[in-house]
Amino acid sequence: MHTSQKQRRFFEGLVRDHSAELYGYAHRFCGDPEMAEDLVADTFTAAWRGLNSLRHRERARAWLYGILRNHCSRWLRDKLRRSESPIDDQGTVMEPESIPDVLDSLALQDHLQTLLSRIEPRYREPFLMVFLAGFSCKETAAELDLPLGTVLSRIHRARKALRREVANLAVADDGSVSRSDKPSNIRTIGGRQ
Amino acid sequence: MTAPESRDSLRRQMGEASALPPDDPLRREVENRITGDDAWAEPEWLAQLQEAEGLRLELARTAPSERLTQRLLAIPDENRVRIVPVPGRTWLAAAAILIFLFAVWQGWRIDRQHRLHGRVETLAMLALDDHLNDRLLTDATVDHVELCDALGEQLGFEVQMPIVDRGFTLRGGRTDKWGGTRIAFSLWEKGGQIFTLSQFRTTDYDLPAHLSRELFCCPEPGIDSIPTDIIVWATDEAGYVLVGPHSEVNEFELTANEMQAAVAADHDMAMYDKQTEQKRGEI
Repeated sequence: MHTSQKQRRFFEGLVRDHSAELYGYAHRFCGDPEMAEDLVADTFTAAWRGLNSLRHRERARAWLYGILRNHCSRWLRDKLRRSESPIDDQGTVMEPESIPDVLDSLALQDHLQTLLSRIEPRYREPFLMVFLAGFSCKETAAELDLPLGTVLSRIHRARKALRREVANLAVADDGSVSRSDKPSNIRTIGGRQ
Repeated sequence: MTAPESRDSLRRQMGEASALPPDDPLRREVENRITGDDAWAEPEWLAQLQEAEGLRLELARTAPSERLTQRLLAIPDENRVRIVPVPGRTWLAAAAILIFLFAVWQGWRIDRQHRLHGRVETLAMLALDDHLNDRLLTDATVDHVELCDALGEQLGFEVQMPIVDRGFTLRGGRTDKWGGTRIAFSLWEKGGQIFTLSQFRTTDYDLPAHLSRELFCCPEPGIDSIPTDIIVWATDEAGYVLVGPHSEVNEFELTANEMQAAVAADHDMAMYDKQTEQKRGEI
């Protein structure tokens, strides 16, 4: 078989095996389904152009995630540069609309997405890699070039931030103040208690 | 560590460990701490694990649109130009290298010609200076053979007088120094006008063995109030600079050209003399 045909077959295999999960990551990272598709398309375009640079095909998945993370980072930088929204000290974009209103109008998927968007990107990235992409903490540490302890700490912080946001949602619902680092029931928010 | 601090520390460790797989040693270590700790820890740990599992399930609930796969599969067709087979790239690289080498070679050649011309011009200026300012003769003689022998002995290379038999009358000569290298200087007369001929070894000035005749025009009038011209040429590593009045040197230019061609074609001086004789006969 001709080399380019072999490359094409291999590329099609990558699309079949990994496009859905890459889309999931991109969607959760940027919160916009259409933008997520663009990011995945950009990722696969870059992958096709650089297919010759992939020496070990068994690392293709991690390689694709690496490309996607770069595209996501670029997208985030552009977004922050363009954004007129104020940014707090932790780099979190402050949403202009009130959380209860968002809650009322969105389904569970959107709740989670909104909450995720409030987590600082450096905590969101390892969190999604472990909880969504299924990389182990050690693999994530290697991919992000971070110590394992830092990855664990960032994931913990991401979850803590998520709980805090959930607590804020709960306050708006029942009027009582209940901020806690205790694991809140994510499923409660979705009404699956 | 106080009890609240200890609790916070364990809570943080639980939070980190709940992201690890069940068989991870770090997670096991935290689990061991939990069993021996306060009653609050175990239910919270279980809640952490439950939450982690819930997060995994919730996060995975995304699905791309149907057109995404088609869009991705079309990428190779839309980016055909980008995928150039390696041999093609090799040819491109080779062509680029060749163009680069050619440009470097051209640059080197131009630079070399420039430097060569500069050296020849310097020699012409030195000969002009001798012609205008220093006509001292240590060997006053009209016998060119005698002068050639005398100068050759002092200089250590064969001295020739290629303008002999061209109607020039020898007055004498001397050795001189141009930039630390010795040369042969001779003074000639023709039609009442003075000519000087300097001979050097081309190797002493890093010049090629054969040099085409190069004419330099001196705008300033010489001692005789006549504009001066200079001709530089070389044959068989013997370089010459003839300096004299404008019209005469120009006339000699053609003769020198013929002589140069003859000498370069045949290194034998006798052959040159023979050809000169033949030309005389024809005239």
